[in-house]
Amino acid sequence: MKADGGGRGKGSEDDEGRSEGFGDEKDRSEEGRDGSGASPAGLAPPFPRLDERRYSRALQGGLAILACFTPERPLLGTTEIAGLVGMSVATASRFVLTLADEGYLERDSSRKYRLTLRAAELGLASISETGLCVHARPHLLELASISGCVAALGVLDGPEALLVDVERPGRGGGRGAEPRARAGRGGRTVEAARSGRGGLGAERERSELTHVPLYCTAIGKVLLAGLPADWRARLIAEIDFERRGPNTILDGESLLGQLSRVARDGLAATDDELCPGACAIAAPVRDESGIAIAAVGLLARAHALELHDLEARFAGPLLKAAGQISARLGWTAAGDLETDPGRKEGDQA
Amino acid sequence: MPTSTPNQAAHRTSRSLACGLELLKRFTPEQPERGISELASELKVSAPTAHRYASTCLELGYLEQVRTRRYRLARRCAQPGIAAIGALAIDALAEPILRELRDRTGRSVALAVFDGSDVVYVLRLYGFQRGQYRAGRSLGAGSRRPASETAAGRALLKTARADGERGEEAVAEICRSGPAAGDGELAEGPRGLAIAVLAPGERAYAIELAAPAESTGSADLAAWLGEPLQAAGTALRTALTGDAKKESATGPAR
Repeated sequence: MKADGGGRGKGSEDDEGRSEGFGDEKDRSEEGRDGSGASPAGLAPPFPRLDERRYSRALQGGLAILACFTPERPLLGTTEIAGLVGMSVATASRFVLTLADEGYLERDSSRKYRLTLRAAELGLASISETGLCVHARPHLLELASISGCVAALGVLDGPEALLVDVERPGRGGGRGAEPRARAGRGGRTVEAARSGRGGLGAERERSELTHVPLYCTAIGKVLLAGLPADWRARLIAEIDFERRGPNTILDGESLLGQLSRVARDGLAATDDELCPGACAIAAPVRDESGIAIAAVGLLARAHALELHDLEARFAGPLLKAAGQISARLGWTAAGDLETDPGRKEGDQA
Repeated sequence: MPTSTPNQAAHRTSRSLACGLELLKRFTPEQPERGISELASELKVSAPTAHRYASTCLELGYLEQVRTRRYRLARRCAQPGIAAIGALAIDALAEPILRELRDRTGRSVALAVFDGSDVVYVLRLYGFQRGQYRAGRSLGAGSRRPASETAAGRALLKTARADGERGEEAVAEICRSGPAAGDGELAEGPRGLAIAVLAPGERAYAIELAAPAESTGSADLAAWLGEPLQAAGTALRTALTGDAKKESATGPAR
């Protein structure tokens, strides 16, 4: 790593504290001092947190500085920043200038710095539900593989649910590395997204996604239950009820009755409703405002499982997955923002 | 770009930092998972250098490892963006107004601001009608699009032209983007209606209503949705004006 950095031309890509020397060497000793708890705000962890050569000190510094800005503390001067991050003013100043150069910080009339809207580009994709499918896929694969059921992610699309991802057990074994054909629940084949792509691009590439009814699917019930009452009533009024299985709900009244329970429990179920022998459970995926923007569900077909089995064994994992996807979309009630479920997700994927 | 432009202030800025941030920017909704070698070649750095930046981000919780040797953005990465949008202090004011508009129309709605020649969306709510999930997807907080390609941007551009420097009166313009807009620069793409909202001493905002591609003629669209959109624009202007009076010390946002 080090040898390579030195070997590339002027070594400019690897400038911190070595090739340029300027500032950083001096800072290194100062940081030792600054880092020993001298930061005025008392918030700063010692800088650098990662003091080994395999980590980039400059990138650490820059990210730490960006993290100083919050809605409650939108304007900061270089000296304040240095105090908050626990680095010398000279070092902070160099990183601040870099961040301003790159368009992430700007000066206001008081000569203090604030974040620009460019900073929003840095990582909002990581929580925006443009990445919904990306966040959900590892969970769906995991759910499908532990349950042997079909795992699906659905969003509301008028009086139907649109299944934006369907994962079947035994495909890809949870590795998710290879392109694969998928079949929608309705039997229409859905072209798989190319490997390594997801979100907007992936959905656009799929020529056809599966729609399923709202009234006889667990995912549909979750989506309906999350709506404002007037829209719920309007969409239910648009439904053409049709007997698909022995227990299919056939009128709006009965459906509404069930939905209040779904809203209360945060879990919906169907039993012999979509087709004979099929049962399913589903749970809401919430965005940062707590609205159910999607539902994740597990479907057991052809008497593979009885509903009580499905619920007893997999409602827990399903709710956990729904909570973790929600947390990625910014829903904080599911848990502390700082406990990022991503690591665990990554390991499972 | 750290590697392409010789920086005059080379001694005052850090190329490592610039390059590390550039690496994070290479993760997009279109390419959410990246590997070291592709990142290295795009950034024109060695693989070990790219790996060093990625390890730093991984260790600090800005990236997470998806599979061996592949990474994606982790939640912490969104923090600067959340803070930047939060600093506008518009969410609490605008959210109820957008929610009301969404509930009235059943369409996906979003709030946007100018940033240079682009618009940046800062708030979005999904509609309930068919097609609204798709129509609202590109309007998520932090999305940046050229102003001329979006209804919100066009409304803001018209407002800026019409109002010149005065910027004091609320000017409402409804624009359409998409095929019906006439100039045909957008054969495909989201369409919408937007209204620009100006309040004295405040940043200009635009409220956009998404329209799914399959919806019928744009004249119909304006006829159905013009009134609720106008009402939302007026409500937001009133809220902004009231807010500005209360907190006149805060000063204009730009």
